[in-house]
Amino acid sequence: MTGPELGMTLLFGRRAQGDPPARWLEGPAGGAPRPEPALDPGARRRVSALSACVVEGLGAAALPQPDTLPVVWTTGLGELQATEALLRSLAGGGRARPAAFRGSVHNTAVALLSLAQGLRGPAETLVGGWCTTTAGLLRAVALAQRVGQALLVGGDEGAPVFEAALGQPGALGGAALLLEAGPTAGARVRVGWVEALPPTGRGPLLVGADPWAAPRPLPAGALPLAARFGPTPAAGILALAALVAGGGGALAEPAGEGWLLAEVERRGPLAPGP
Amino acid sequence: MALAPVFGPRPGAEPVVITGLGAVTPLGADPEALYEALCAGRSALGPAPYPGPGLAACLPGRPAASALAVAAARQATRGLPERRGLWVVCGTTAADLGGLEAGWAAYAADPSAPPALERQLGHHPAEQVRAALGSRAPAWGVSTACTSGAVALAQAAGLVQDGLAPAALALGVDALCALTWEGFGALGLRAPGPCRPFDAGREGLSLGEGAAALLLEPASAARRRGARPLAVLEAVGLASDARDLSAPHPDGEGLRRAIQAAVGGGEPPGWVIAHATGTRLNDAAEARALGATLPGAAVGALKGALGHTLGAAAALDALVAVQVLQRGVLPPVIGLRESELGLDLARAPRRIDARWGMSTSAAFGGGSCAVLLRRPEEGL
Repeated sequence: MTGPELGMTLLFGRRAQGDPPARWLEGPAGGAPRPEPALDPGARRRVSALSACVVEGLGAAALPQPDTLPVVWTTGLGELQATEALLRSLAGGGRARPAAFRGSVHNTAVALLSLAQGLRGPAETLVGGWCTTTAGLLRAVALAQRVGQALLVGGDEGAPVFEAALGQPGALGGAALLLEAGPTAGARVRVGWVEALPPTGRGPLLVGADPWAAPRPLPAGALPLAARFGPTPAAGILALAALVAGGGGALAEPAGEGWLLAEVERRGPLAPGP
Repeated sequence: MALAPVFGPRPGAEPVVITGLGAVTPLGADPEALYEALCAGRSALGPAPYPGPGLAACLPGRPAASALAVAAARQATRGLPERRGLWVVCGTTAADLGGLEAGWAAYAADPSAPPALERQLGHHPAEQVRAALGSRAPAWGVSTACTSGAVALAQAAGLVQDGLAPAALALGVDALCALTWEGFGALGLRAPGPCRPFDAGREGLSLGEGAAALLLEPASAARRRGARPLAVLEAVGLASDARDLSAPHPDGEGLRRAIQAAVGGGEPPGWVIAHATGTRLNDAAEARALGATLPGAAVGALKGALGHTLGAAAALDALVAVQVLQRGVLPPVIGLRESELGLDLARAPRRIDARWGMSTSAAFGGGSCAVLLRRPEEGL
């Protein structure tokens, strides 16, 4: 795979179970939930679990150049709980509440993030279905190449309609990674589109799937994302966080008739991590 | 530190040109018909399919957004011989949610019968376009509310400029749905009558539906296949207000910065197709931003004719801006009587200097976008 290679730092990663990202590939999920700081109780009542996950996750991070830093927010389902609540209400003859409608748009989380962090640069919201994370990474790499740095933030949440449609709960999860052009220590990432997946190499190859499409053949040794992270599109960003926090590897998501493939290589020691 | 454009000229990179257009709107079923209707001063606003005050610009038959996107995509790629490598980026706010109301009503009564979730996910129209055109390449959605179509344009152009895509299709699409109708009603933003962008008596927006598609290629690829570039996509600026979830900065701060990022140190355009929803706050903020960054520019706006098409709006604005570059005439602002905003508004079709032009958009979440287009020189 050709294309630019950029440095990548994990700023936060969290999923419902609360264990640290470096362990997400090692064994079954578990552990005590982490404390939830950042948003005061009043603000927290007004935002969704998904938006709170992102805003609180990045709460303590020092972001570079907040006036110009590009942000790519990736979400496959968006504010699904808020949307479901609104649609159920309308279907039952109810009315939309202004705050509920405002909070149902896909870019709500990144808007709240820009408010919380004073981010006045470009903010893009990419919804790529089952290639959401790698497509967002591709876009963030392009922006970081152009201006030096870019913030990739991803997350998704489940809702009753998701469980009814797919037969499994879609657990809440999210992560943020800072991409930097030029020489940096730590993890390096490369992303591109390939028509066929290469054989597994150094580190695990995590592979996503479109649950509404026919299964595709996978290379020997590939690990299905859903088996580790569940069927939510948040699995992609959680897997990317795990690869950066751990020893590297690759993430592939179905895109068109091929795959968007992100290869993460770790150079130098593991950072303490969030 | 100055804000950089999210797309713009890069050393060593060749221009990205627009070589195909597609549009499906209540005013015209293709770009030419749409442009003629706009210049003739027609409006598609009429009775809406939902209860409550307000008119809408509706297509017949309650079409799904994906169907509109596919139709526009087919028009834009008509002359493209090779579509297998075409990347697709489609802006939308509601995907195919319109048309799923019955499914949601059934689900509300019986939670074991969910509506077709995959159809309301934001990538669905892009994926439908990809499949319909026979592309093997990736497709995804952009959902930055009312700037979605312009952000899709920037992303698609970046894919072409970076050499990832031999060609890319940028779209914007939305169809009317109960969620947006009721939502804008709850916010008190729907005008009781036809919307009047930039008018002193403006009372809110009118909703609409439609799709726009723009085909992007490297200039050399267009030349090799004998395609005529319609416009050069010069730059796209994008900025955030970081101030409020839905209300714009009163001085149009984010839009001002987006315009400055797109123009950079270059020649500012002499005309612009503005977002101009017809709401009191948006139009006032936008007027301040335009007055500060493009003083004296001629200003056009489409929403008095097409309504606010949400995820399609910024793509439709950019598409019409390409046509203005081609024809040299800026369509008039429909619904305008008198304005207190101090802009040079096009009250009738206006012949303008068509070397450079711009379209602007603003969105829930505080994002603003400016698209700078250039008429291609001979031989490009």
